[in-house]
Amino acid sequence: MIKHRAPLLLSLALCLASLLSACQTSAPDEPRSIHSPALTLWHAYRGDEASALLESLERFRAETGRAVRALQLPHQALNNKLQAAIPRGNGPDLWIGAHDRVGDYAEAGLIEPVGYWMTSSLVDQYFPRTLEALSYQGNLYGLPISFKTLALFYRTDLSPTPPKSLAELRSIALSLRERGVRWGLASPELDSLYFHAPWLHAFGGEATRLHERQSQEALLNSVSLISDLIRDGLIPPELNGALTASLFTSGQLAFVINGPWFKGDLEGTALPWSVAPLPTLSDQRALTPYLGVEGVFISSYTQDPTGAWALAQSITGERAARASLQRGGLVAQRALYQEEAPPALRAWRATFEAQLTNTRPLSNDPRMKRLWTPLKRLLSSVLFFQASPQESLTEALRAIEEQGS
Amino acid sequence: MTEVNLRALCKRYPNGFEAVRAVDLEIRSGELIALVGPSGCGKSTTLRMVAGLEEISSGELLIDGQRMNERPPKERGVGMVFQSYALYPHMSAYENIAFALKLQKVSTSEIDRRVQSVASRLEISELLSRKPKQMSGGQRQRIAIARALIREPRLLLFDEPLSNLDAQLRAHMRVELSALHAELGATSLYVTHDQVEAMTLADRVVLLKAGEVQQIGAPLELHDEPVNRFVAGFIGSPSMNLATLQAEAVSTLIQEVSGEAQQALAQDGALSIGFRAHHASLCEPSERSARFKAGDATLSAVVELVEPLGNESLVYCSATLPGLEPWRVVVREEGHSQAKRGDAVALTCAAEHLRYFSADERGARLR
Amino acid sequence: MSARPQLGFIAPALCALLSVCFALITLNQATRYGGTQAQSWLSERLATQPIQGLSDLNITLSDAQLELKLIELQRTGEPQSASYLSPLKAFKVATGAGGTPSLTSTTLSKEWFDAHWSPRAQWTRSGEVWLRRPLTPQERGALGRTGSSQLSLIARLAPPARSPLPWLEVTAGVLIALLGVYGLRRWAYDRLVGGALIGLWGSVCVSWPLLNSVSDLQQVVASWALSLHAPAPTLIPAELLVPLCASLPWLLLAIAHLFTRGRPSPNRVAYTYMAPTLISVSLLVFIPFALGVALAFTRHDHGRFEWVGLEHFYHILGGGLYELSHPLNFYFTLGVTVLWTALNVLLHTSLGLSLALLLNRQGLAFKGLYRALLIIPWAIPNYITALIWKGMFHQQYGLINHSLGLFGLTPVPWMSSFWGSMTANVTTNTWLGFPFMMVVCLGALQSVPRDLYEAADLAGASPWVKFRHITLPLLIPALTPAIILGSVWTFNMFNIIYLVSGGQPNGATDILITEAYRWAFEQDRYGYAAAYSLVIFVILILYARLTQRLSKAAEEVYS
Repeated sequence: MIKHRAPLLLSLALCLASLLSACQTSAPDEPRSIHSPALTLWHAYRGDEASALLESLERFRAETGRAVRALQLPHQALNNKLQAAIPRGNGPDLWIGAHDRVGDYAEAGLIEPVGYWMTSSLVDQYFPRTLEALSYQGNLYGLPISFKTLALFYRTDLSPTPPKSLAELRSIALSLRERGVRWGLASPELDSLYFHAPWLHAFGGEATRLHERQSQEALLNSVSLISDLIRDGLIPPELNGALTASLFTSGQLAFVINGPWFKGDLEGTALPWSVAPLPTLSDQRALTPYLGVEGVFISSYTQDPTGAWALAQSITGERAARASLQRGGLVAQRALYQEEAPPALRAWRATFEAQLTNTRPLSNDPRMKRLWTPLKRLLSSVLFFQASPQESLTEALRAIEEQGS
Repeated sequence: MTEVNLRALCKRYPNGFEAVRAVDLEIRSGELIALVGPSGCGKSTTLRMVAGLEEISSGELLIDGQRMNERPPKERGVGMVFQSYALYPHMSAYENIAFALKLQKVSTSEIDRRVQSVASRLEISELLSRKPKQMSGGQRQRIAIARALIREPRLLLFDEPLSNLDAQLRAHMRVELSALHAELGATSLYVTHDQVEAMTLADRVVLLKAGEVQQIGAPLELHDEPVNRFVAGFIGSPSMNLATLQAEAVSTLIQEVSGEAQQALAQDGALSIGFRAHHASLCEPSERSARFKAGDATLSAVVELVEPLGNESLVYCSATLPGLEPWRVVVREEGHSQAKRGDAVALTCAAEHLRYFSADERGARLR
Repeated sequence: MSARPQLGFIAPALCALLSVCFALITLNQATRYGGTQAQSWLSERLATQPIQGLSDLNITLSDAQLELKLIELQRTGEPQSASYLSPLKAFKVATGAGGTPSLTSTTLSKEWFDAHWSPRAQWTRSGEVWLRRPLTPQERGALGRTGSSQLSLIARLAPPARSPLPWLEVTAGVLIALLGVYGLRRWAYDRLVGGALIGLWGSVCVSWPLLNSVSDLQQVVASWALSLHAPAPTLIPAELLVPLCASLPWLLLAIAHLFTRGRPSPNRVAYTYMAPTLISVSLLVFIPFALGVALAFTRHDHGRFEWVGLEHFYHILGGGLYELSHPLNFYFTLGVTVLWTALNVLLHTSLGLSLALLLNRQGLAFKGLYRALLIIPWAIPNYITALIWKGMFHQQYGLINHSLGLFGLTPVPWMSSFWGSMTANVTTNTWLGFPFMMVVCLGALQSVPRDLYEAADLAGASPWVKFRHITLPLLIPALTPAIILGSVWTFNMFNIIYLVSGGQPNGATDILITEAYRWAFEQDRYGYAAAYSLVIFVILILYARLTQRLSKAAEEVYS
């Protein structure tokens, strides 16, 4: 007679469960039909943007009958999750992310080139630079939703008209200093390549081409220019994002070079502020900041590429873009900028549209990642610790090459 | 040789509690004075005031004629043996003993010589390299004594040193301490709650109760001639048999009152009568008249319990008193007692061994 | 019961034996075509064997058919200006068979293409694996297709005709279950052990993440074997793992029985109570640790792991080809870390001890209030503390420089020099850490008997002598573990270094752990960072062993 029934039954049940689950795993995967139940979309939006996205997804569902499941993720976690989940088949059909990861995704085989579906009319809809940002090795990998770049923020009560050149800015700042405005110009992070790039590009250099003589000289020139500005007391040496905002709002800082996210810091206050395109250097060389594009990408593991493409088009389409533009977002749809803008957004739109022509897309090559830290070290040692620029440059080049190994 | 004088020494705590009230004591040189009393009577506090570990609230402390109230402990020339020995656990016995000398910056060879001499006197020479936790209680105590002796103090203080030992070891150490005192002849102040220790070790005994001195005298003096009821009841083992009765009742117990008894009984009201267990004797009720003589007290009792102790027996009886509750008394008999539980016996006590005390709280002796 | 244990031993041993045989048989059955492992194996193959020419398109593997097709999406109509357009009109399929390539065009419909889209792989029950990847520019060049068309390589891996897998699987599983039941019945007296092991089995079976991570481990192992140019190891597919794990309890039961010779262990109740902890610790600690160690010997590149052996360790321990004073040199960082730890522990201990001595005075008023106030630094999350202190050390607008200015002193550029940043870091961490030491010292101080001090008073000891010869030696047994603990925590104190000085200037104040973090998450060099972490681990283990002896010696004072 079996003495202990409970463990016996439990073990039998578990054994059966394991067998069943095993059978489940190797169930036949028939090629799925085109109309699968729902599309999954991952994004890292918050607040207003998130609700706007959900609205357009709702609209999509109403129009096409395809439901979309949107999953909101923290910004930092998005990349890791994609890398981990997609190869195992647990990833989304589409996701919204930044363009500088395209090279990574492409090398890892996570995204699908969309040139297959593009039409020339579709190409014409977007700013060419934004499409350029989303391509890698000749293939286009996504559709652009919005873009961001740097512009010059200024207080209209301190400086009614924006300066067009650096010399003009300098003279305005000096006169303001006598009126008690301590600092003239600032960027939230002086030692970040992102904020230093406009100067580097103005001198004809390029971060990804630092092994060439021209870029090296350009870098040396740009850091010496900034060092001079710091030494003249125009730029405060030690800053962070919060401090920049507080200095600007309290009237201690005249001009800020920052991106569209800065608007969020200024919105609560009743300050009279405005934006303008970045000033030029003395000899008409334009300050050319990096362009960042947010795009929608299609997973290469998706079971329903047609549906995903339709959704991507809807998200980047005219209606969604117009709604976003009304809220002050910077969309990639070209034609919408010709439409009449409300007075509050007129300068905003005009500035960024104009600045867009003077941008360079942040390289989406996977090797770009390796440049940030060495160049940050270089910039901080030259600008903050008065190290020799040439030595720091040699150091940085060595560090960049090291990491290639 | 050192003389110590305590004059009206008082200890008052900030909350108003008086632990020691006006203690007057003169310690002659070479004496071992025992401070005894029940818990909380202030004996340790007195000792610590002499050592300098407690502040003296009022009164004077004189050592060799010098006022020591304000002096720190190290200047008083005292050596103290603590109840828990207070040996430094991380140092070896040698280092424990040598600690005081090291602080005085005595040379190493001198330290060594002195430590070895003290150690050999106390027979702990082979223990010197051990740590306290590697020694037994008795050994630790000897180390503590050595440590107290190393500075050749004028005055030796003992704070209940034997309380932490078991009974057999306690008895052994009592003998040793006695021998040590005889050998050294140092003036010592010894605190204990055990009156047997006090009786055996001390030259004079100071009995304290609630911070007040009850009696100072040689041990036998306290035993034989207690000045009050408390002393009578504290000293002696087993305790003195005491009862509080009306004077008339007392006189019924005693035939032919004379002498001391007469004076005591002349009072009105109640008084206490007492006698020691070994001064009473038992006999058959019928033999009563033959046994006793004038002035003796006699009682009729019923045996309740007999404790045979080998060399003696303690017989616990319940003595009848006219018109009162029975009086529980203890009688000591030599060797094996014939009494059995339930026997009716007659108790006799000689007149010279009867003690009378007043019945009030102080219980002073009536002579 | 003497005869029965012998019999009871047989059943679980039989189960174990059967499981092992089962595993071997099915492994031998070429499970390389199973599930997701097949596609990764195939993609590895394709990645390591780039197509040199059209002749490479004809590859067959033993007992499997690998078919390569080159699919070219060609534009028809006018070339467009933008290079990323390729409107599909038609596509050609090209296969090569040695010699001159022959191009045959087949009109494959878009539906066909969509239907087989799942572009990396598609695993069907009939055993096919499809793989697709775009050609690299080099391959395009080699194939003479440098134009801007979109070229894809499609590989189809077809398994042998029969797949004995399902039936064997089911039969074996049932057999194992029956034998297990029989074993359990025989082992009625060891119910508790059995129950514990069933619990283990159940949790394993239902924890898919475990299986996923195990397959990760397999990936690593597979890459390792691949780079050694060994034949691809036979990877165990997930659905095989489950029955294997199902039989694991029986295997363990048999082993246990073997060791105990059938006698119930007197500790079996203890094992049962320990089983949940053992399981969770192994899942949460040991398995990730093993993965980390495995990672240290590989190089990571976009999800692929490549075995590099001890190369990372040579690089790290050789100073990375940097000179000793360079922040990226391992020894420099090690020196900074040791300096940081030593300074902090010194300050923590002295400050904590002093405060404890102060608080331990007799009759101190408001003692409880002081104690509570002094514990607050420890109670606040150190993230917030670090950010606040960072703000206070700001050169222009920080509180400290502001106060210095009030006294007429020149403001110090804290973050501009190594020592300035170090001071900022050490100050923050000291503020955070002294309450711990203070609490430990307070507790230990209260355990020192008062009459030791009185005896010392009689011997004529000054307060300093009393502290040095009595208090300090008696505190050491309590302080030693606290110091060891504190030093290990400080050695790995990531938050403060990262948040307050951020490694400024130039990575000089980075300690080992922040350095490892930067390698992993700023440079994406996971293998290197794992190797770094392993080195840190070894250093700390050696330190722990060393200090174990010290604390043992110190404890002997009181025991």
